[in-house]
Amino acid sequence: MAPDSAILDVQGVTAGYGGSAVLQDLGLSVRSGTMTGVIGPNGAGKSTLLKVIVGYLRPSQGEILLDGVAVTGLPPEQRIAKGIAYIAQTRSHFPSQTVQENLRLGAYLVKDARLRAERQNAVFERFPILHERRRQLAGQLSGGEARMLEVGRMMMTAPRLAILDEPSVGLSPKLVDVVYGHVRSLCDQGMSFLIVEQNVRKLLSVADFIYALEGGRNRYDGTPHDLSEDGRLAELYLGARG
Amino acid sequence: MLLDLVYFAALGVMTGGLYGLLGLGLNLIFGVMRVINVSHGEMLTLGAYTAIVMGLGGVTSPWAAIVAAVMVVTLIGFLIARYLLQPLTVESRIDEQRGMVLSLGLSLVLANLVLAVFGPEYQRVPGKLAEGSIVLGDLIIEKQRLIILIASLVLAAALMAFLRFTLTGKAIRAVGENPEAAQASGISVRKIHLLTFSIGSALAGAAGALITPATYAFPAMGLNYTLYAFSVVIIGGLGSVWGAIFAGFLLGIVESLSVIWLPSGYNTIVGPVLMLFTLIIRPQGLLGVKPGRA
Amino acid sequence: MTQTFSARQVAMILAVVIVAATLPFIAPNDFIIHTVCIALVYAVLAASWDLLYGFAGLISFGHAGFFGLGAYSAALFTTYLGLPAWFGPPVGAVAGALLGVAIGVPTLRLRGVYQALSTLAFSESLHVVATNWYSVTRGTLGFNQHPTFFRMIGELHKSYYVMLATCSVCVAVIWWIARRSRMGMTFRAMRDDDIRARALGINIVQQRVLVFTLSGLFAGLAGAIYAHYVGLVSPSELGPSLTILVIAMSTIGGVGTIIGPAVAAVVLYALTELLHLAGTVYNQIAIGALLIAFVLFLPDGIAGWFVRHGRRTPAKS
Repeated sequence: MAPDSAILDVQGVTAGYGGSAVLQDLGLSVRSGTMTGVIGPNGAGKSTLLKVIVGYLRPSQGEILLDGVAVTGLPPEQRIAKGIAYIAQTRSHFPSQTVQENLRLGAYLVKDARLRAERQNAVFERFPILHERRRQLAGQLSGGEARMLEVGRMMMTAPRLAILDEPSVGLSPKLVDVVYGHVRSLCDQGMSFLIVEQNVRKLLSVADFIYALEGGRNRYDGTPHDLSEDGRLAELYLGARG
Repeated sequence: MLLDLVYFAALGVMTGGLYGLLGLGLNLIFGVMRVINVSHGEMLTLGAYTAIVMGLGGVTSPWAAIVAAVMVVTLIGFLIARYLLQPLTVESRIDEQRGMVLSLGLSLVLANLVLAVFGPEYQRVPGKLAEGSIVLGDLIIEKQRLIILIASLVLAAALMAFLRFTLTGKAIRAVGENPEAAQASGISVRKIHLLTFSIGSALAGAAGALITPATYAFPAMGLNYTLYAFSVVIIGGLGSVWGAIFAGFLLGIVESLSVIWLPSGYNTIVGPVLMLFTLIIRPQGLLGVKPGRA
Repeated sequence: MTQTFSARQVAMILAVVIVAATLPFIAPNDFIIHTVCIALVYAVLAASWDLLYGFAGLISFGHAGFFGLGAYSAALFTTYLGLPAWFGPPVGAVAGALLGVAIGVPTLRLRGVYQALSTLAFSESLHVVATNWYSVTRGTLGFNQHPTFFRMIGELHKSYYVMLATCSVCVAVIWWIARRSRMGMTFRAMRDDDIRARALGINIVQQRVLVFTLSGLFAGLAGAIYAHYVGLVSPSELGPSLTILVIAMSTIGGVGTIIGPAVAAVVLYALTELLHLAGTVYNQIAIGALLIAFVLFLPDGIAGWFVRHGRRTPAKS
């Protein structure tokens, strides 16, 4: 896989709910090995975009390509099998089951027991707190610990593309830094990321490439450096947040 | 008087096992798929009539009949889930209200199909699960009823072990708790729904086949049992497996004991009344969880 | 919400009105007239169910309870007090309304499934009582000691027109309450978003009890009319089968339109009674199958289909 190839290609996607289109002819791509961010005001279609990419929502038009292969018709579980992972905005785990069971479920598609054990060890190495709490119910974890569990759950499939919906929500600034620290380190190990964020400043400081959505379309894109230099982004944001 | 109490209580325990089994199946279906399956009792009817057909066909062993009943009802449950419930599924969730109304239509169709094919007469199977009774002092308990109780407990325990310890069982619980996260783990919610409905129906079918040696079957029996199942599920708590079992026994015992104090025939009011009290005073039931689904 | 009707729709409505008005003369036999009379009662029942669900968002799994209670109350009241049949319907209406209050008040906090099952619990309890209180209700034999409106034979035409008029008026009143009155608007606000409704000053408690009372009133009234028309009241008037039928009729007719369920009730009941002549239980199977088909393919019901396809006015948006 050449470092410049796109692990994810979204082409001309139009999608919405009940007849109204939230996304209009949207296109973006994630270069493999990068952390790509998506920002935009409320209602711009960020969550809808993620739903379409992961497969929860069918677009009325357009294609989703994973590593050049079209996955547009596939249900989420098959896209997971092909190397996508997804962490939703709120509670993307199972509170009534233990930490260990949550991880086991994350590895639902991994048939090889040895591989599962290896990956679980990697998760526990990265998040010692999860090892400590492995027999506790996930519902008893704090907000930050739950996020880490979700990242751990995601790691169990060793995805090539991880999709995160507002990972900083509900976390203190220190925890946000911790989470993004892990994301960066996983990215450096080869995992590509597509991250939607409200916390624009944080995203600008860590991402390799940014897309700014507005009204269901791709308004601006570029490196964080380009975008913060460019006054329009500030205008988009200050204007929208008002 | 004490002997009466003990006798009726014992009887209640035995019917309670059955109620618990029914409630378990309904609870599973509701907990995972959020569908109120009004036709649940009809699965019991189909199980009972499969046993009757086996009996008419010359099969004398009730156990073979039970196995056949479970197989038949599981298949029917699967077909219902695949062709009637799946179309109502949007983004991994089933439309609750449409599912409920659909199950109403199903109960009409199934109960009357049975009526059309077999007629309204009460039917019996030729065999018995066991002959004779156990005598404990002044208490006489039919062995057969005891076996039904034990079978119910075994089935319930098997279900609970399956849900708790196997990967598929955990996946089922996961889908019930958070369908989106389950899908994000690679679990096919579609397949889990099919499996869950089949298992729930199978439990009801087993219950139906279990009771036929002890009592008779008639086409409208399903609706009565559906009402019991609902009472059990509400009293025990929607979504709680232990709750269903406990509530089943509670309902069975109270209803049985009520025969002593209430004029005859009124014991069937116990279920609705207990359900009403639970709904008014503590809607989540004895062991239920407040509906906090993702 | 006003609606302009297309020429085709006007023609259809006119056809229905003409048929209804001349039925006793064009019907091939008396059984059809008799069937339609009963169907008209079910129309009122279905309309009252729709008021509760389609407009206030409250599912009644125990509507037969109102109906049966109204029927028994009217029958028992007129019998034991020696009153003529015309006293029955008001009694039935009051009984239904009281039951509405009795159900509405304790279940205020309940939503969704729990609320639906609470209504079931109420009607099932009544069902058991009616079946077993032999000394008063004569149990499953049914109660037939009460006076009827008309003698069955010889006054069929008169009874048909009276039933037609009464039931149509009832349905019209329910329709007006639901679609035109402020009460109806308030019910709908409560259904859609009760938090916002409360913020607007709507007393949810009051409105919820009110809609239960109204729905129960009409259902009880329908029950009483039924009792005095047919002359026999049995526990099955309180049973779940009747409730299921009402829900089926309303769903097929189109929830939230009042007229849809009412018309569907008449058509379905009449059709299935005719099928009944053909082969006993297939009518129930037909209704169940129809219901399933509608839920799957036409969830808005027939009236819903009309609303979406029949409009010939220029589109609003």
